[in-house]
Amino acid sequence: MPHKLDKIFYFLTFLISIIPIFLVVMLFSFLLYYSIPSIKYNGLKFFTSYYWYPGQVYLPPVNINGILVPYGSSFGILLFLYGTLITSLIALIIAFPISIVVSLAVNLYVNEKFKKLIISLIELFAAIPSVLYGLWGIVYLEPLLSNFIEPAMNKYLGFMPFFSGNIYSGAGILASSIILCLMILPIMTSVINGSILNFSTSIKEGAIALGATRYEMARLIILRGIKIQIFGAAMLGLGRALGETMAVLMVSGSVFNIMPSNIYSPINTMAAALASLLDSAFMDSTGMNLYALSELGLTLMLITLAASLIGRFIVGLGIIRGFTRGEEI
Amino acid sequence: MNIRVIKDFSFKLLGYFLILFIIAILVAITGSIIINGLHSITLKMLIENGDTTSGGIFNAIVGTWMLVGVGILFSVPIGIFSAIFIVEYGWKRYNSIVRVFTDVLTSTPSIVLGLFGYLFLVIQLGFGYSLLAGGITLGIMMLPYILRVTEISLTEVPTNIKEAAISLGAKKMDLIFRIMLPYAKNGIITSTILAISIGAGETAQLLYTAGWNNGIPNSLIKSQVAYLTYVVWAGINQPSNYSHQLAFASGLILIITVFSLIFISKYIKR
Amino acid sequence: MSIIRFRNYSVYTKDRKILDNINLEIFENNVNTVLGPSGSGKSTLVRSINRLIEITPGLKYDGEIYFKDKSIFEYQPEEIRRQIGLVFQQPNPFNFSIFENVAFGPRIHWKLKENELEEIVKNSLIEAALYEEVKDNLKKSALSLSGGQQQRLCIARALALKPLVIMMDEPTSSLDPIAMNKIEDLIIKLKEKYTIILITHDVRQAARISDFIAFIYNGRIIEHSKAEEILEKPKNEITEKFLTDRLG
Ligand SMILES: Nc1ncnc2c1ncn2[C@@H]1O[C@H](COP(=O)(O)OP(=O)(O)O)[C@@H](O)[C@H]1O
Ligand SMILES: [Mg+2]
Repeated sequence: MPHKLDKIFYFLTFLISIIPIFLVVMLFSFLLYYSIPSIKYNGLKFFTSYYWYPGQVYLPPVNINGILVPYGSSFGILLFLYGTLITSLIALIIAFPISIVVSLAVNLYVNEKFKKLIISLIELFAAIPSVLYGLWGIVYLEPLLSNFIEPAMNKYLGFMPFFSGNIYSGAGILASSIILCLMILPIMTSVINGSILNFSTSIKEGAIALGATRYEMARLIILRGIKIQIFGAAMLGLGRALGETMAVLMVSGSVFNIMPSNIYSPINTMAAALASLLDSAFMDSTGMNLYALSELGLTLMLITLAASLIGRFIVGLGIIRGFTRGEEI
Repeated sequence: MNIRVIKDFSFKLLGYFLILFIIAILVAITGSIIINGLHSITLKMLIENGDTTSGGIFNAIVGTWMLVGVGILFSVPIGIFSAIFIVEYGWKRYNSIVRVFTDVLTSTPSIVLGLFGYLFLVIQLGFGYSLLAGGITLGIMMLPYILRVTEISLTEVPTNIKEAAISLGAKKMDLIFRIMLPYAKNGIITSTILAISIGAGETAQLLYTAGWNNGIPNSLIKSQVAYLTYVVWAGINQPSNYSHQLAFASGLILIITVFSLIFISKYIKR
Repeated sequence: MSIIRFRNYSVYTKDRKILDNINLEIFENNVNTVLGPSGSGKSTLVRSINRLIEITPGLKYDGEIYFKDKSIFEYQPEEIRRQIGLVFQQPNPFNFSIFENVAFGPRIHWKLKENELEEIVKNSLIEAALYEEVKDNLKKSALSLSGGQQQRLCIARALALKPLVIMMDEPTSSLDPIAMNKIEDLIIKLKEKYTIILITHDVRQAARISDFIAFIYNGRIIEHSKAEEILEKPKNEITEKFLTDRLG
């Protein structure tokens, strides 16, 4: 590198390119550093108890095993963990077949012009801000669920334990799952559509030559090797669902300390709990609330990362939060 | 009719039904927000400051743009220069490391980014709830996106064009600034516009980094900021009718903003 | 007078030689043609001279190339590239205006006033026999030009740097016959002022405009002499076979 300016530029851009790495390292360090007092204090109980209570932060703190914590406080995330997993899984179970059928149908039965339009429309879903899903959920979905859908489900599916029992205000597991399902549909459809495009032409020609129907072609496409991409798409969808905050916060019912009894019950998720508990945590002079929430954040981060990174690795696409660009990247 | 044809027909029917169903839901969501928004919004709201229960949303509109602006100022230069390094100098191993770390950033839940913004920017660096804390937290979320799209745009500059410039004696920096960046311009602009649209719709990162302000912040740090998504969230959770109207009015502005930015970016890409 | 000399110059990939021990002189103010079938190493030869080879991943080289009696590796690469222009097989104008394409080189090498720059652009376009066709449209995108015009624009772009040598790598192979004629006429005119290195696999084109011809085959210079000599009395049977095959 003979030119001085070039050399300076090289080092400058090199330093800048370290920033993303630096940010991730800082992110983990801060979360971990703030988690340590909670990890020490709560131990395994953090994951096995579903009782979360910030404590009487206005009373003098109490000393438990040499650690100062607010009087009466308890930090167990089992309810949140359960809520995060159950809502995400239900969302995935609904979104999975829909995204597969839609992307196959779009590729096999719809002409090129409409196909582009449909895919862009579905991708528009991903661009709608979370809070607007929440807004719609509160105003329309919750009444719809509690007045019509949930009673009907109770009546016809009530023979199964998870679908029987009380119906609440509409906010809860079902509402959260439906909203999450809508939010992960675009990313999944986009990825599956991309992988179908990647090799449908050769299959199409071959299959049509053999006199196959389009439905048979669809099965062939799936059997021939986008299985793994579909799995990747599901993981990416799951990753998004696990970490989604605002929409779920708004339609989950934000319950504490009561484990849900059925699919209609109010629930709380890790992300939603983190969002709703943080401001009261600042009142805690011992800091333990903040430490516990940091541990909650760290746990959420690790779970989400596992799903997303597996998905990314499999799909190998640069899918970006908020807007999927499966066709381009 | 044999069974094969029937199966094919049923599958087609199911496919069409699901496509229409999904589009119907999309229309229902956007439609309900637009219609409610149009019923709720008044000119007064647009020009007055407010506190999510009374007044208007002028402070939230301005605050949103300020936060997004700081986010863009943070993420675009870092994203572009990192992409330049990766494409022009980086070795394979290093590039894939950066890739993994940006993937981690992309996959981080927004509330966790918010918590990090709180711990690092608000507390550690002492920014307080502020434009800088909120904006940079948004920027951290935008960064991987800008970086990746710029990287792809730079990689797509045709080799014969690069060689033309080099054979005319272009130094590395001439090549980058006079050829590569102009050629990648559309990609960079599109990704910036999309990043703006993503940033404008974010909430969770901002709850504990931006705070709320009944007016316009008067400083980059230690002065809280209002933003539109907060009005939606806080407004709909309050009992008064007027709060709901403010929430829907903010929702309308958000959805118009986000969709127009997407259309603009699609148009530029042409 | 020779302006460029190859001395035992070779280029390798991991598993084979692309140029094998080249010894070659390029004569000033002549059209020096390197003739050979495709894949014989012609492009690699010219890319070596303006030092594109050393930035091509996967290639290694040894031996020497002298430019004005000094090793090209002792110059700054940018200086070599300024003094020795290269025109590629496919016209590759930048997606800028016609003016900006020609101005690109001068802008990056010299600090010039706007009127000096305009002067250079105009003269280069005149020299490349393109000025009359584009003088009213200098702001128009270069991509709006025809293929032949684009190639002459690329020649003008190289001329704007006031080089000593212009290398053209099969400059007409993607053009129609009329555009080809224009470029050949241009080459003959340009050799009064510049040294030309012309790469071609077209024997007829070599015959029309060459002063010297080097026949290259499988990375080796098989023979090199005055154009008439090699065309009429090739000494090597490979050359002879190539010429008779191509001329029918
Ligand atoms: N960068 C490279 N890496 C590996 N092989 C190369 C490279 N460039 C050229 N070659 C090989 O060297 C030989 C000569 O190529 P080239 O100089 O382009 O020939 P010509 O211009 O005469 O057609 C070809 O077989 C080509 O495949
Ligand atoms: Mg060649």
